[in-house]
Amino acid sequence: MKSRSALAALSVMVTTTLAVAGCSGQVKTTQNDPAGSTGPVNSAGTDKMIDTLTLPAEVPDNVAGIENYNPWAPNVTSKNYFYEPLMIRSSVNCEVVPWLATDYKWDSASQIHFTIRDGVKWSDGQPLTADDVAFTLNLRKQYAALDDIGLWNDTFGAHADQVTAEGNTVTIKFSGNAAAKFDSLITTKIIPKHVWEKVGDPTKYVEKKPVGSGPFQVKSYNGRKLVLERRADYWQADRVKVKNLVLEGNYDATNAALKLTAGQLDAYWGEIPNPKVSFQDKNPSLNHFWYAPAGSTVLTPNTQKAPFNDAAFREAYSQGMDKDQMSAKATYSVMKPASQTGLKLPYAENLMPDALKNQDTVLKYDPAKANQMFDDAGYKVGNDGFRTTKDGKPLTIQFSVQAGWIDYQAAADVIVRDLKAMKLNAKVVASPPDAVDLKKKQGDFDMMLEYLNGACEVARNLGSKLASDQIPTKTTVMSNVERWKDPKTDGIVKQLSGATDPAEQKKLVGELVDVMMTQYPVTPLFYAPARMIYRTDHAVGWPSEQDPYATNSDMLLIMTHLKSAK
Amino acid sequence: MRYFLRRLGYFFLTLWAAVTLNFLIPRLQPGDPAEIMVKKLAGKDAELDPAKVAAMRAMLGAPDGNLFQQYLAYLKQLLSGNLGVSYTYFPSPATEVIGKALPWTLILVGVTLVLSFLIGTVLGAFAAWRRNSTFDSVATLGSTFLGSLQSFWVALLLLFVFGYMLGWFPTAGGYDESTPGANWAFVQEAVMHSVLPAAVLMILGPIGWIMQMRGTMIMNLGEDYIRLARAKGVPDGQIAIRYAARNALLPSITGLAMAVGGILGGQILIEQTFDYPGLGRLMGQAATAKDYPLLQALLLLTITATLVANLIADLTYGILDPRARKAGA
Amino acid sequence: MTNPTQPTADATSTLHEQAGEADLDAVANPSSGRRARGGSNGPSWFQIIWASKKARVGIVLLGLYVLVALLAPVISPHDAADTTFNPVELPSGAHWMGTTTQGADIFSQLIYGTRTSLIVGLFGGLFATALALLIGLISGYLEGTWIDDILSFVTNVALVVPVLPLIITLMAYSEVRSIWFTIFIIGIISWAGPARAKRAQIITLRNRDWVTAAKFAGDGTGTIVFREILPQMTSLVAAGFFGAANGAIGAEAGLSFLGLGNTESVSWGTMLYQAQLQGALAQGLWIWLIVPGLALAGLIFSLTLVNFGIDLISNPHLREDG
Repeated sequence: MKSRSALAALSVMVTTTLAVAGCSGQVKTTQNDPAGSTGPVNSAGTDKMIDTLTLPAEVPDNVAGIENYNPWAPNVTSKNYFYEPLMIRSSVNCEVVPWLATDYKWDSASQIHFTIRDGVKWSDGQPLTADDVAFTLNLRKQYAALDDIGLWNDTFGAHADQVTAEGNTVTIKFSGNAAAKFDSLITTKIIPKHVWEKVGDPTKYVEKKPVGSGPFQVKSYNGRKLVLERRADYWQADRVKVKNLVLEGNYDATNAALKLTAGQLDAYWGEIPNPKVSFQDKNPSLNHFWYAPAGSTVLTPNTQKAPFNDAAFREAYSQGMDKDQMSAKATYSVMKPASQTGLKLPYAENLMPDALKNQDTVLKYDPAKANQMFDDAGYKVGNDGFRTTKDGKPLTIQFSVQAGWIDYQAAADVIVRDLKAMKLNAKVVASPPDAVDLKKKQGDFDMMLEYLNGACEVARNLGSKLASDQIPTKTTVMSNVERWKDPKTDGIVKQLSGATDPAEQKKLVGELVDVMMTQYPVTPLFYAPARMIYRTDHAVGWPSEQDPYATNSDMLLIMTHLKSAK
Repeated sequence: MRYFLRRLGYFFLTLWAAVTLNFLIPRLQPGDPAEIMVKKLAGKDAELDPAKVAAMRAMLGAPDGNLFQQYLAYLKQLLSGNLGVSYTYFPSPATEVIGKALPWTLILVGVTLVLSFLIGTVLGAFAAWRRNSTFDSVATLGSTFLGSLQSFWVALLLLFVFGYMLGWFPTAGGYDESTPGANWAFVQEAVMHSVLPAAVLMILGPIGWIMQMRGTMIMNLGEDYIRLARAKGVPDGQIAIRYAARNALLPSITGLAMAVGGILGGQILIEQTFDYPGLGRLMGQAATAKDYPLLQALLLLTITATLVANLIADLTYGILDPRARKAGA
Repeated sequence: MTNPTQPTADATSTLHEQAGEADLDAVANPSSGRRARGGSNGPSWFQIIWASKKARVGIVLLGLYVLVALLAPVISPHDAADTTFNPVELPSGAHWMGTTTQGADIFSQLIYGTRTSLIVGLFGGLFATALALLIGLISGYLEGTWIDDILSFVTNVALVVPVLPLIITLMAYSEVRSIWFTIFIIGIISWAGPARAKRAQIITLRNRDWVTAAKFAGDGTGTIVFREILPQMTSLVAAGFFGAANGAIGAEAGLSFLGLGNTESVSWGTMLYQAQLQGALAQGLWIWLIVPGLALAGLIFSLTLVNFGIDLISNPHLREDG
């Protein structure tokens, strides 16, 4: 328990630094150490080991026998358990958990220091140093293909000018305000310099024997089944209770549900329709799932096109959306109807403007009110029973939806039914997903469903959804699919992405929320999930609604939380 | 000789046209491989991170020049025998990826094809010989009904019943614990994993061969030379096998040659259902991921095989039946 | 790329080609050929078909399907598109086969799905047959000319064009997802094989005496093709149509199963697709997955049986009475 108190002390330190520096985004400090005791832990068995845990393969597509642990390879066999990030910020509670970096400090919004943890060893026995971190970051400058966090270009914040290591500190100097880069910067997976400086072009390098700092190393791989074994010399080995980790198979919904039920799989985070019936009800004491909100599914109109360029029109149909019905059909009522603020509630409660506190910001389903608003706004019902444009021309709405995305298709059916109830002549057109992306790029659509990211950095999520420089181009899909063009909003987003003072951030977020609540650029419908479906016969301590410490993208955090169920 | 040269020229012309279409059709579709790849890693409806897309574009290498220049480069690459590097399995060459999947499909589809052919031909011949008997009715009607089933539907049911409910067979992949190679443990596992997909192919496969053989055989049995043989007192069994069946085999064998050409296409839906590591599943992946190099290499393989099979069928037909040399030109 | 519904398409096309080849031989044998196209001096075509037990079963079965399709609004207890019921209900008096995960009545979807499949079969079959016939006829009759060269070339290339990418491309640029669009796609992807068979049939027919006679009599190409040759091929065309209809029904199911089908009306293919994606088996909704598959099989079976009967017209050898 000695190391635990050490870590606790460490997190206090982080808290203090943050309070002083108080930078970037809505950084909340971590309340507990990386592997704080949480969840329904069986107190008698905390020191017992879990012999084997079986999870789905990390590799997205598998062809027998292709093996590559290069973390940048699109089809990497596995990387999560070898290469670790600087820090982990769980997207649910937005707490920053120190990892390879024990601490960070912004000098200004254009310079940041990371303190690198002492005593971390690579799996080949060599120590991990600040040099390795600087090497990893500088490698991205030389090879643009490796820069998946946009460190050296101007994506969300100014580009880096220089990365240097001194002692146990890594300093990054940016060309300007780079506060918005923090969230992605800390996710950088650190690689060992002594291995990677000799491999030539790292984009084309095939890594067969990964040297990492993570909790596991490769035990065996037969082209299908990857077995990882626990590293006894891992820097927080006392928190890792899983002896063997088996990563195997890419399953579809049915297969995954059946494998989980049969106990051949311990956890899964892909889509399983109706997880309650397909999985949980079959053994409620062992089978669990938690679908954390990761963002919102939003109704996106083409705001450059009449009548969707009329705020009164957007407000009217927003009142007539039966969100409970959509949640029922698209998510089996697992995901709750979403707040019109665009914030992920209740997790982002602290960002809510005071005026809206204690107010239900989820729009009520009220078709009568919606119809009244349409009438008032001048969209009269024509002879065919459908509403016309203001100047009396027929109005038809094509709702574009991705063929094969069953949740979207189910929601689209409800939306079109709701639109018809508001006497709007709408119909669904399902196209292959890439064709829908083409419509986003060309702005060639009336309405569609879209995703609003709910991660911690509001400037990057709600902000980029509303910023005019994030409108998709002919070649690239970007966030502002609804093509919201408003100089005032742009100004708010710009200030927000450079804001360092929490009070100022909250004020600016409040202004964005106001745009959402009065202009209805998009209409949030229901929260979109980050899924975690798991069994508790081998391991306990999975994230849950009671203990929302991580989502499926933070597997390292989860691995340090799991305890034996026996 | 002119006939054969003409066929050969035609073969290459068709091949060129097919290769061109294979290049063109996937590129006419919307969708950017880098965006698709990032989306696949992030989750289907997640937001695209522009930094990730830019990095992925740099990694996969944006194609140079306009579509026509890309086409010329592609042809040049083809002629030098280079099929490019797969996007999905970057940096593995497309040929290496295909090489891993090829044996699985070759064995699964090849074995079931030959078995279907043998079973179907024998049943068909026997059904024709014992025409209108109970056997005939059962064989024709039974196989017709089985042939009416949808492959993906049969696959789902077999997977659920024999894979999950009864647990007799593994439910995914081509093997579990063993290391691929020439060892007994692997062969055992591979066979067990192939039983269910093979069963689907065997349920649906024989019908065509049964009907083909039965039809031709019945016709042959009505021919004068059979009547003559009967009149001369040749034993029944000999008439059935040495005269009627032997002659009736010819169209079936031509059909087999054509079907062999189709093997390499794999069986997309069946392989996907059983997560079988063959070419069909790979093709499905490559098509959805817009993995142009891999998709092109796979299509090239299938098309060449089909065309070669057609060519062989044509040429042998030309040798066997000189009349066709003109008709088939 | 292979056809997504390959096994079925293979089975039917093999059947169909087999029928075609049998026909060719029959036609090559003048006496049987004459008998086939006569009618006044032999049994009528319907008598021939009806005489076959198999075909009889097929006709009755097909009739049942047609009846269900026609009477769908009467038979079906609910509207197939109505998704306002409680989802995932097990079979009961109110919902004989239960409800889907979206809250639609499975039995009603099954009944209305009959319409879609029959329409696809009829029009998909007609479209593909017409395309195949047109190209096959011209190409075959003008055999050896440059027109034939071009048409044959196009046909052969079409035979090896990757089907799945082609469909995705067509879908990407079309705003319609109606049943007619599905039929159009099916026609586009399935004409080539039959066209090649038709061409071969024409070539054998075109050298028959009566065609030569018509030529000497000074008849034009059109007259010869449509007055002299086409009538000889009626039963071949009919058999081709039923084969193509079967192919179309299977292709519709396959397309829908891949999520590329029509989204405006319920079909058995879309039912299977939904059932699979929603994990029907994992949720215990067996019926949802099994029933549409059986319905499809029954319809395809009946059409194949009818086709047995049609083969008998052109190929007397196959008749059950002798």
